[in-house]
Amino acid sequence: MKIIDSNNGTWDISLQNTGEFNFIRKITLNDEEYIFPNTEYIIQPKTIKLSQGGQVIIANVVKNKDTWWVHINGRTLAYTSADSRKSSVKITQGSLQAPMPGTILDLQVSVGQSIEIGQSLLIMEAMKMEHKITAPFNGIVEKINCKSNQKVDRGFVLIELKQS
Amino acid sequence: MLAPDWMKMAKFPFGCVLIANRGEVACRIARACKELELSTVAIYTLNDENSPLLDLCDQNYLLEGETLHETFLNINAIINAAKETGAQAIHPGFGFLSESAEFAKAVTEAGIVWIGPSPESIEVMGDKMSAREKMKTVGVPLVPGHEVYSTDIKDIHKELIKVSPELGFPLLIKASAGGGGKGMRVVNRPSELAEAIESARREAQTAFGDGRIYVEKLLTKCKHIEIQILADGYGNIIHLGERECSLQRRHQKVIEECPSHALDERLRNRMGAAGIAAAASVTYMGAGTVEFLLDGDEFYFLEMNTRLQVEHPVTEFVTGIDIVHQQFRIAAGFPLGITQNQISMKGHSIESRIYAEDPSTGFLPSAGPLLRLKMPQGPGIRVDSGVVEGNSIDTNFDPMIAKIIVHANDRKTAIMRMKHALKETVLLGLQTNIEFLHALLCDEDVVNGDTNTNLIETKWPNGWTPSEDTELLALGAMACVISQESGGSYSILTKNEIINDPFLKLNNRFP
Repeated sequence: MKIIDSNNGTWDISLQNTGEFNFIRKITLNDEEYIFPNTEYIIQPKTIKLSQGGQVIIANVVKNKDTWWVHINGRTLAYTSADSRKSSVKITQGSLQAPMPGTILDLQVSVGQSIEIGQSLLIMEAMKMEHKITAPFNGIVEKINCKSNQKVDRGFVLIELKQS
Repeated sequence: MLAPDWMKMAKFPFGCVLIANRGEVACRIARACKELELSTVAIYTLNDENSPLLDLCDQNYLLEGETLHETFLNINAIINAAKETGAQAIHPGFGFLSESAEFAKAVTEAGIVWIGPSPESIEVMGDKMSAREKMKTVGVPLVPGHEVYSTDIKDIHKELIKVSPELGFPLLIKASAGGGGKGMRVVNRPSELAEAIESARREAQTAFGDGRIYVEKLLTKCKHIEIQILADGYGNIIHLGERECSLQRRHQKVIEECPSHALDERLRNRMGAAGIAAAASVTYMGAGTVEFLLDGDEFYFLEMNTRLQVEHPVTEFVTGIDIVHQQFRIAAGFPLGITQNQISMKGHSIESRIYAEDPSTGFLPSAGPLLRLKMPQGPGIRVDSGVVEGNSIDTNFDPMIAKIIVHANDRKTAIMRMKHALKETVLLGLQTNIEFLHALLCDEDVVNGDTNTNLIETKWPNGWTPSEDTELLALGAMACVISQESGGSYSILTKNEIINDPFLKLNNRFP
């Protein structure tokens, strides 16, 4: 099964169950074999126990839609399935997405306007705080997909820019 | 509802308390009520139907409405709830109406005991400008600044341009009705003034319904030190020592501790006396906090919070005094019963605030379901939270999910204990700052107590990203694949269709 980590690394992992023992058979990272110590695993009611030569690691795993959330050694990691990645919406070059769910308070630019790097383009509100969305480069506003008072979700494409 | 035995002889006895709040502070207060044999009423919205608070309280009262104005900020609705449920006292917690003089007045006029200071005290201290004027009269040192009384943007701009050379840049524009970092803007040069005035006024207007602002010289490399006050309204005022809250991002506290590394006994006494003077100036009653900026051994009054504070548990750990219990005793009309020289500070306590936010994007808020939630346990560990596994965090409310508080004999051990507690905390389903908090406690300056209010933004101006570790990513990937192929016992929660839409229930509107 293939999954993608937060670094965009693609992991392909196959398991082997002998009936008595459960092992990780093979791991590849970006199609190259990843060398790792022999890993045995035990499935517990709420956690997975991984053991590598006497060292035991407890992992908490939950899946929500296409995202796996994993807690290991005090770290929280998120993975997505490789299949979902293919079908996900292509992100337009130079588009500004909402970094969080919130409400548009103030649109400060209009279509066709030239903008400078760092210029404030719009102000959003979330968690009772205002957040400024600024231009990542010099360019021109090509399209505006939101209006004042509109509620947007995380990842919503707010403004499309053309780099100059 | 009859008052419990311990309160029978009180001047204003009550047996049933309505908690005009939600989340972790409401749960904290509900537990204190249980200990004190007080009956409790929770108010809640449909959004909070699955909140653990509802199980902690004896009665649950649904507030109908979509917005905060219709619910947690609705004075009439809350007083009606108290009347209908037979509540004889109201505890406001923090946030929401806790610093509304109008609410305190309405509660008192309805014949209900208000767990807090008088409306007059709230009014003077809640308005930062009048608080500054008050402090001038009692000689409590203030951050150099200027109060703006004009309402026209152009006049304000002119006035600030005029006073700015005297104060010097950078300046900090603050909302007179402000708090929690809202309505605050840093101005580095005159050209930034106009935009900052406008956006601070707008944010203040949205958040507090009051757009008045004032300006202070921005003191950098200072420590945020605050003094916890208890006052009984009979002239007995004591302080419970300080809390240091220098570790902040976007003017919101992240880690707090007691005692402060920067205070010796002499400075503690000086600041304590200033805190008491500030409280006395408004004939304070109840628990309150006087906040100061500390620059070397000079300190300046920032504001007084006329309510319980988020970080009160560190003081409770170190002094052994339950501040919420004291609030109930004082409101019932008992004299303090503790004197200043009975207060001693033992060991060291640290609090970490777990926020729903993504440190890698500059601490922007996040939202999502709490698919897995395991809080740390062990000696000297306290967890104050108002959520359980299966609840969702949405953007309608403040992003704080829970607080972890530790206590140990000394600061070094307390840091160790907190680092371990953070590593043990499992919170899956949304981005949180847990790993950042851990990194913060590994930082050399933090370990040495060499902190200031700019530390986080100086060290991590664009946010914080954990270091990459391929071995860890491999282990995580293994865990995902094992969980998937072992047949979904780990994805049970997704089948319950936890709704990940923060806007589905309450409109995203704020006071």
